[in-house]
Amino acid sequence: MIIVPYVTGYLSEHYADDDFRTLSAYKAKGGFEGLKKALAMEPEEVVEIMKSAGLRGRGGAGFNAGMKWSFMPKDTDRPKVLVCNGDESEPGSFKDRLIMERGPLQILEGILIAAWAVGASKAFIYIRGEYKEPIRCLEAAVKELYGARLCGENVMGKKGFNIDIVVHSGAGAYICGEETGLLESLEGKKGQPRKKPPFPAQFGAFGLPTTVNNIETFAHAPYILDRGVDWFRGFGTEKSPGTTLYGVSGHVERPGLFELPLGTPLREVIGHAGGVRGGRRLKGVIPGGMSMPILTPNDIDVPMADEFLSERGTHLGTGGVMVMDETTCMVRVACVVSYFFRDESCGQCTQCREGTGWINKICERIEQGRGTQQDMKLLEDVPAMMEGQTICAFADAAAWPIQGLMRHFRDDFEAHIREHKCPYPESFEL
Amino acid sequence: MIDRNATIDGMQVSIHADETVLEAATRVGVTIPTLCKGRDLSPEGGCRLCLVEVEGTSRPQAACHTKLADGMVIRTATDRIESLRRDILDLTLSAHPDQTFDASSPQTEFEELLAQYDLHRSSYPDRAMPATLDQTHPYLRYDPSRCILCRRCIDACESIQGQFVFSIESRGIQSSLCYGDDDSFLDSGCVACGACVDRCPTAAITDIDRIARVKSDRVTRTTCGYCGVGCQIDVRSRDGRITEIGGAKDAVVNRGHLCAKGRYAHAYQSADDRLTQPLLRNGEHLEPVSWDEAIDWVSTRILSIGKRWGPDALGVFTSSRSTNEAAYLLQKMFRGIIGTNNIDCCARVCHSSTALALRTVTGTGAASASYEDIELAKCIVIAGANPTEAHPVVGSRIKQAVLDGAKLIVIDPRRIELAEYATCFLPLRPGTNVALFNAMAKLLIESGQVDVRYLEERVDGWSELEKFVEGLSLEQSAQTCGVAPDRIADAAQILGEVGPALFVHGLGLSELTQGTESVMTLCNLGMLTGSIGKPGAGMLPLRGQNNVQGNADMGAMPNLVTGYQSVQDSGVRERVGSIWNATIPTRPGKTIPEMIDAAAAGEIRGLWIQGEDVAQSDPNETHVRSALNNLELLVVQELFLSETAQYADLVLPAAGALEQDGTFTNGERRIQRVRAAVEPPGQARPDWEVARNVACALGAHWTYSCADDVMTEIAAVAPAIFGGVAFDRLGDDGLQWPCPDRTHPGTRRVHESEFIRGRGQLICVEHIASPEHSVDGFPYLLITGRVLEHYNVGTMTRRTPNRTLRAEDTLEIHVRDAAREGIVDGSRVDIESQWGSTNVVAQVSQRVQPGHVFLSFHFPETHTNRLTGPQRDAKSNCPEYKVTAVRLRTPETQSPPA
Repeated sequence: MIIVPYVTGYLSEHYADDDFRTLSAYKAKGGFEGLKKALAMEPEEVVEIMKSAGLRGRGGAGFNAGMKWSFMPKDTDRPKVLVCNGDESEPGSFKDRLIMERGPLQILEGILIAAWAVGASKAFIYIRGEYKEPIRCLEAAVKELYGARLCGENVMGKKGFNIDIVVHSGAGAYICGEETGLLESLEGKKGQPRKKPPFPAQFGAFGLPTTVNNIETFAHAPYILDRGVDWFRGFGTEKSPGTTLYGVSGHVERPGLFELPLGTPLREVIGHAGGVRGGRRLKGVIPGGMSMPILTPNDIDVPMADEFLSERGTHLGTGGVMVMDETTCMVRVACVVSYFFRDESCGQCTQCREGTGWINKICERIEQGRGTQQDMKLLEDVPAMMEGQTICAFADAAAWPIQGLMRHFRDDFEAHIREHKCPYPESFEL
Repeated sequence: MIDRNATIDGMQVSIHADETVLEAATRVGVTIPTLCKGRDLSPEGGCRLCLVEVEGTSRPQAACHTKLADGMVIRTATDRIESLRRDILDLTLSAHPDQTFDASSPQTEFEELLAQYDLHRSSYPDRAMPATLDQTHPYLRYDPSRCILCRRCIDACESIQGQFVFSIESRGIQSSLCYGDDDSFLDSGCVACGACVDRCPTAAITDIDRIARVKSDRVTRTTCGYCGVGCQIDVRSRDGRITEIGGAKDAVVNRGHLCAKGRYAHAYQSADDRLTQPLLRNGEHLEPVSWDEAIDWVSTRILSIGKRWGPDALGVFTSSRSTNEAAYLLQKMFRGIIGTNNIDCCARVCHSSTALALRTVTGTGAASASYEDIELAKCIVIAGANPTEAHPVVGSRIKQAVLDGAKLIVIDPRRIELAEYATCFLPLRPGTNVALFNAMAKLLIESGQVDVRYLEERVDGWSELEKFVEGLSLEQSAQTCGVAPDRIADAAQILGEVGPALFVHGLGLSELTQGTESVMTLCNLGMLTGSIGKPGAGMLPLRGQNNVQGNADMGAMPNLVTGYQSVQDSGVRERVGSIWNATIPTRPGKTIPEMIDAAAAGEIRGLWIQGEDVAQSDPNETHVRSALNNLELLVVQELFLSETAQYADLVLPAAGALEQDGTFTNGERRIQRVRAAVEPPGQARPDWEVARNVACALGAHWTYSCADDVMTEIAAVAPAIFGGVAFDRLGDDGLQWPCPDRTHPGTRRVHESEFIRGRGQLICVEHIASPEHSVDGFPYLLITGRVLEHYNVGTMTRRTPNRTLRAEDTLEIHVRDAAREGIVDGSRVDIESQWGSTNVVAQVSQRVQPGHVFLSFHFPETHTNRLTGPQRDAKSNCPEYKVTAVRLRTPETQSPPA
């Protein structure tokens, strides 16, 4: 297990302490103070606090969490549902796993606060099936909560505040991280995104009003409630307050997770990981999980918050920073990326189903030295017809990294076609 | 109200609640291409062809799942959108081998789109290899090379038929259509309704009979000649041969949907062994004669028997497969010219108990409800009917209603398909319906879950029934039925809480010694819950044959002349007699079982049997055959030389349902047009024409020149229910009787404001066991019935590829009984009752309960009706097909495989 070097923040402050996973230790470190304060307020006030805190969803899309909570219908007799997305299927992302393993009670307290705020009576924590240890940790934590009457009926003595929490193991598909794909999977169906509208707040899990938030998003909530909006906004940027766990992987000296304020410059983030391995030169960085377009060394000082990254044609995504050094063949990167998305497309939409297939086929052909100029044109055309036209954002996620690679590293592709072979013999093996 | 609207391609479009952009565009005449949204289906959303531009949004929106909202400005065919669509089509095409599709002579929706976008070849290199065709099914074919994964078939199968055959295997580029866990079309759960075929935009799934793409030169809208649902069909033909049959899309009854029989099983029409000329017996042989000779011969024989033995030595069975006009003329001939009321039809051996019961307690012997009540129902009770097999189109509508949330109570000894969908399933002992319904009535009354107002205002006999059920014991009733008291209580509670209910019932109620009482006690439940006459509720007996309702309506009954008018009523005799210019005999005639008995006893000497194979279908086969053998004159009108026809002295070749004009009346009292799609083969003739010609030879002056003329007379003879019926008013969807005058729109629901008989009648009657219930040495109870693939005695379906789908009758036996008897699946077993025996193939099953066995009667070689006996309902004379005590023997020579 990677124990995070605590850098600056609050979320991972006690992650080195094994006991932090137990209720007594968690409480001793101030746990459940946030929930206590929330329960002293009206639910609407909690939503307002969350809105003004400006906590952006940490699952990739970065939507204001309080705003999302406010979409839940207020005048309905139907039971409401919270879903915690622990699918963490984005390649290059591993922060949620750490939170689940080291701070499960942070997540659960966040869920209880959200349940109070939106009036939910059922919460599902959907965790990817391969995450055996996180599932075990959350199951143990949930059990402890029930024992301490911190969930179930009349939580913390608050009459009528009833919330059941269920830990649900996923069965393995990238698309189950997409919130409506997750809901289908949770219902026992094939994980395929739903057509929207209706959005989950109207028609979510089992047809009930539902809010889906990421693991990390829930984990921040107790601190906001306990320590206040101003304190929270003391971290990060105006538009992206708070810290996040940047997961740095790839060609660095010390891959790992680093909790830093949002907006920390990329150079500093990579610096915490010991910089590019062996003193080599940086070639490219994927800033937020594999579906985000790549950055070049020219972007090394970009503040790692979505408002700055989007100016450079990419996004913060899940904060999974993938570093590539000068030996890297960007066509091979394209092969890896496109193989993944070809394999993971659910297949509902024509562009995504056929497009991911063609992109991968073409990338592999180019890598093998069999590419043509027609292939280059297809690599421009196909992603363009996938972007922004399908039921869910998967097609965008599959198109963007290819578009990024073509935009910044076209020379790599051209060289393969020109030389009929891969010019990077030292690059990673496919 | 503020006028709200949106703009589509510059046109102002009003906002309709819940309407999608695609629907709104279609409404105003703007065509938006789509491949994944099929007719009557919800949008799949995956093809993305219907993307349109919506002002103010950067991304194009899918018209099929975007709701039209106030102020939207939509452009459906900008350059950007059109080029996008071409790209999508190109991508779709890229997944298929070259030359799979032909845009130069488009035959399918997809090819038409390719042509429209001028896409003859995909621009992508290295294309897929052709995949293997699935040709395992006799009617359907699946070509994976043509499948574009639009998923319409999946939705059609789920939301129209309710069969859930298809799914998508794997994901992404490796996605392919599969049949769940099954390997081939034939092995899949497909019931061959064709809903997927009708919606497949590429002909990946197609009908084998459509592959040759024979261009039809004629389309005829007519009524299906199989079961009593009365689906409307479009029959395509070329050069006098049927090329294909499809469901009429706009039909009220079936909305384009059909079943494995109606859609595909038409090969019998051109079978080699169709009868094409009259055949007259000469010793052992039947020899061809001319129609003139045949008519001359038969009229002479009828006159001589009538003269020698009196008119009551003659009798007629009209055909429930033939038209109203044919049935009307035959009963008119026998009553008015020959002078006997010995007239009956096969309703006697199926729903006579139902008709009598309904007539007694409500005033009319037909369904009170319509099929459209299925979708309106909150609670459906199925009792003694197996709709998904015997009435598949209604069965699928019931299934969909239940999937949409209606509660379902299934009362049947067998775990029929719909039992799997039931909120409550009561697998009762065959022939114990009265005990069960009385117990439910008791529970409803004692828990106060009855419609007091309805009972007070509209029904007689409530206090008597209250008192009667007081004396009943729930425990004892439960024991009689073999159903746990709790289960009965569950069913009563659902009925009480969710009712009014729609009661869908069948022969499992009527073909019993207590058949009439079974239906009457079911009507008790209908009245206690205030169901009869209400929307989404009432009595809906499912009629077995296409025109069994019509035959009874027309007066093919020994006591009732056309329109259920009693022959014992002198006013009726006088009025009808004056129209007919004839004297109608006073004394009611004999029923079919009585006529068979009388023939065996030598009292009936001449029988005319129109299109009914009594030697196979009637109970106690040995007795029936000896009766037929005993006749001096047997005239049979038939399509084929049936088991019965082999006993005939004269066989008259008949036109089939697809070859004649007239009307059929379905189980919801809907009189619908039948139109000849093709000419009958050889000299085969419509039944009504033959009746007219024989009547004329007997001395009548009948001048009907077409079926229309006959209907005009029917309307005059029975004005109360048919007065407003005329061919020019029947149109595409016909009229539901009662329809007393030409301005009357027909009747969807009978007894709406009051019962036809004035007040409804609750009945107090106790369960009486059938003599077959406890016969020493015969430990099993046999139920007979039908299976999906075949129709009645199989005369038609056995002459079609349905035979591939089901090649023989099999005896369903519970796995535990099979183990005890040493019977293995597929082995032959001797089955014996007090009345006869036969040898059949066993099918080990959990559909039947222990102690019960089930056998269909579609194949003559099965001799199912050698087993059924002489027991009848005393009131209706309906035979007891549903309870026969039997025993089983495995031939000792045959040991089970190791």
